[in-house]
Amino acid sequence: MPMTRLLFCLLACWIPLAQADLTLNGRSTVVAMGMQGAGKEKLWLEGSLIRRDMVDRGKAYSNIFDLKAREVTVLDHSLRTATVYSTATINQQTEAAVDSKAVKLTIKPTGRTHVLGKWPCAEHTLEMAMPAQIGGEKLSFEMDGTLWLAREVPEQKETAAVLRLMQAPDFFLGIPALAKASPVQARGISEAIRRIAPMGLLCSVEVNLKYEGNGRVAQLSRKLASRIGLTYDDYSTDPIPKDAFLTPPGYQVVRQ
Amino acid sequence: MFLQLGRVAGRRPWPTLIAAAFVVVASALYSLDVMQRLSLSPGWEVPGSGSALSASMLRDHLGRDNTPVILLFRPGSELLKVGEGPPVDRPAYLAAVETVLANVASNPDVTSVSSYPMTGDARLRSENGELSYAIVQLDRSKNEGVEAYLRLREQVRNPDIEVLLGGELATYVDIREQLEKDIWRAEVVSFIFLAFLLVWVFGSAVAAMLPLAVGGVTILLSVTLLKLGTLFVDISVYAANVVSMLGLGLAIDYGLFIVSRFREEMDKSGHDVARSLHITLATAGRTVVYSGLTVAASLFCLLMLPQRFFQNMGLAGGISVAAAMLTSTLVLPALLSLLGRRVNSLALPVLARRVARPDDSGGWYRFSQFVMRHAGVILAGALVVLLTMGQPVLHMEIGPSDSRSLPVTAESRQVHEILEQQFRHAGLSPLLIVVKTPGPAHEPAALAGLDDLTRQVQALPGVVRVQGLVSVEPNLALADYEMLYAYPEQFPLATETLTTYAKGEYTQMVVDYTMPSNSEAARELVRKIRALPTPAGLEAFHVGGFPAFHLDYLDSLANWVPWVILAIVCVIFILLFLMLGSLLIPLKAVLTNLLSLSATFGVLVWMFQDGHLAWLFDFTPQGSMDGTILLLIFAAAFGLSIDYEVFLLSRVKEMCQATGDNMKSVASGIQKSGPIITSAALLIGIVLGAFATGEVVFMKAMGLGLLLSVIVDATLVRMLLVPATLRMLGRLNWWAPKPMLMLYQRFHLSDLDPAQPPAKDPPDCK
Repeated sequence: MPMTRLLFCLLACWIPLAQADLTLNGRSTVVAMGMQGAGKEKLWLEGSLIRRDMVDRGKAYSNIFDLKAREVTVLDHSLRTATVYSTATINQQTEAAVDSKAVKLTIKPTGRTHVLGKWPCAEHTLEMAMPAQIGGEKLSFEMDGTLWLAREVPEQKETAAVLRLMQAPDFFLGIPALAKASPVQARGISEAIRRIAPMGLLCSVEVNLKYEGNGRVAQLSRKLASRIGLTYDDYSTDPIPKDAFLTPPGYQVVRQ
Repeated sequence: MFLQLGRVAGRRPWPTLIAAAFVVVASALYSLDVMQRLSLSPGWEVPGSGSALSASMLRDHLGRDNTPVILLFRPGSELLKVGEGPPVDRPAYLAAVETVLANVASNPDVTSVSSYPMTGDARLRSENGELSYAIVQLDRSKNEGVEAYLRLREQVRNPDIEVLLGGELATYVDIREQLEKDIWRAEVVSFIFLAFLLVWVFGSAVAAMLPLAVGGVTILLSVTLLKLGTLFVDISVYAANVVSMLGLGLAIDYGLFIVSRFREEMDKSGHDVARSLHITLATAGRTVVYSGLTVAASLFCLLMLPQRFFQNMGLAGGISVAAAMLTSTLVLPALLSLLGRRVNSLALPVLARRVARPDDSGGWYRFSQFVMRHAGVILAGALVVLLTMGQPVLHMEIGPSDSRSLPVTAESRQVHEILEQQFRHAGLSPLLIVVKTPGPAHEPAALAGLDDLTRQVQALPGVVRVQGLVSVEPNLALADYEMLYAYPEQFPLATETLTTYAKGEYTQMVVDYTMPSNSEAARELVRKIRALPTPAGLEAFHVGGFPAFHLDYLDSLANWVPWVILAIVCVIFILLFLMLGSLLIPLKAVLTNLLSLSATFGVLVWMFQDGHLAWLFDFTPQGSMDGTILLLIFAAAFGLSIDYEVFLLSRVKEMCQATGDNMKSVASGIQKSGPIITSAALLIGIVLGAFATGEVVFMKAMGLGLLLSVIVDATLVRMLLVPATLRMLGRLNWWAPKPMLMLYQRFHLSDLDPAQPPAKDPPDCK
């Protein structure tokens, strides 16, 4: 799975942390350095459990996050495998790469809104920056764009317990592959999710990603700017089947 | 040996038939799963060629063993009513496509999918915006991906949108399925017609059943031998078709010759079964064995070709001939011995046995005499007709079979045509350049070499784009790629590109081009790429993909076919010489057969390449001829033609030894063998003609080609050319230089009955 996809997966998961059953359906787009992709997205949420279904280059995957157990299960539906990772372990690895306090995040409302179902979604600008280092070259990993958040909607009230979990000092929400390949980015995204989650439920997001600096890596990054977007088209509070957060029968389970 | 065994079988019919029944039952049980043992991979690749090396490197070193399947999404009228703008961009259309692809996403046989809704790639949508397609990469590591394809085909059916499947694998599967239907129909139709015709020929239901029984046992035995063969080599499913077509045809021919001769000898000997069988085996039986040897020798020459496909065909042909020969000379004598005069039982009154004509009268005798009296004129006339028929061969083009071989209703053909007409640069059959580098392919030295090669390929006319490690993003220079691959984990592009194009010391480049993949221009592009020098930093590169595969295939045919033809001609010449003891008759036989085959090929070119009579035979003109089919026709038809020549000439020689009169022996030989050979030609013509009714064009061409060769052989060659040339050669017919004569007398295959007084051999006919 390409790294932009992984990173995007985290962005997609950040907001709808709630206690009630909530299902969001939408579409995602990824433009990553000459390649582009788009596809359906589905997010399932129940208590401290989050599941995201996605299709990457025609292959179906799901990520099941259990915030209470601090585990993430990556399901590969074509290979019928379930790989279980401990987010606590990943947290330690990424924390070593960059201090969460070094992540600068600015979110400002623009005053514009759009409606998703009954949710009034308010537009915000987003700017994030954090220090990074590649091949000895000091850089700044930056993300900027727009996001729409639904504030003060009934479903938001249900997120209180989850938000409490997120404020724990060792909280980490991340994808193992991204954390391994790029711990700085994984740390930054996790931190962004932690800070944005209390502000509202995500309706839509569109951001650009890049490295900034004066060296060759930064120059290369400017030529390869990436953009990712996600828009939810509808949501539902119908009960989610209980087995949605379980590893499907017949899958080979591997614990990392 | 066969004849001795045949005699034993005739003397002890019950033990022989019980043993045969045991073999038949055991064969039937053993060969039940033969189709599962045969390889779905046809084996057309040329071992050691650039395309084969490229394919094996992709599979073994880059882990790419995929084949693309096209899913063409065609919206129904209901879907077209919903929304505005180009249909492919309407939500209802996108949702329908994504629903189909969501099913595919969990398919373990699918390695990746690229679709218009997923990528927005304009090449994946039609110019009028009504259609789009997805490319599904399917794992073909098992059975060439056929089973995976069949599962995929079921998975993508959707009530909301029509999904048509295309691509090379889809075409291959469609052809296989159509062939199965065609062959089944051909076998049923030909069996029914054969039964009626045999009853008409023999005038007796019992006699008619015998060749059919021989045919049935031959097919069973052949299939068993084929399955045994799979224990040692990969054998293609196409071999089963050859076994069925050739085995049935030859077995019925051989059965016909032996049963006819037996009945003739029964009449002569006053129904002395033992004596009749003895003479039958010494004459017709011997001829069957010789004929089998010539046909088998001709087909075995296909083993010289490097492609497994031809080797399989040669093996299957040899197996069919051997099975037909064994059944005709072992089982049939036992049956005849048991039946005795009951062979004429169940005679139908309306088809009461026709009175046998004496040797020196009858239509065939008189016609031969007429031909021999005007030998020069008739020879010239026949040659003119044959040469005129063969004239289109001069502009014959050899090309690949593609989806146009299928009926217009076939799904893969529709997809092919829609993509050609409504999409720009579909690029479904790209060239694949596999590059071997001295070290890891993403290191700077290798990247510099790849950059050089990419630029050279990109500069060739017809190349649309080259994709590979150093050509995925137009903004990037070589130095950028070096940086990119130095820190691949930081750049999704690097991770993605390395996963897609490289592994260790191997990398691939994908080349899209403008020309049709089956065109000479595409093959010329392959030649140009192969002619490029290997840049510094790279070890070697090999070009694969469909045009490269086809170029290698054609080159292989061009290199090997002349040798195969020469081998067939030489082997047949030697066998005929050892049978007949003549120098000029085998030479004449070989030359007339070559002429007859040229005429057959000429007609095939006139029809299938040039498009004449397409309306009548219901096919799409191909614009070129499939080299594979021509070679198979050549090997099989050459053998069959010689088969009849052997039957005829052995009769002529027999008469010559008896009478010493050249003209009389020729006319009597033709009178004796003419009706039988014509019946045999008619019978095998029905079998082959039934295959010509199939809907797959190359099978139609093959059936029609073999049928034509039988017709030309039975008419122009045997009725005109043979008597005319035998008359003109006169005493030279049975002449051979002394050293060759000594060879003949030492090694000849004549096996006349030792109980008979020895005849002069070669005969001295005036």
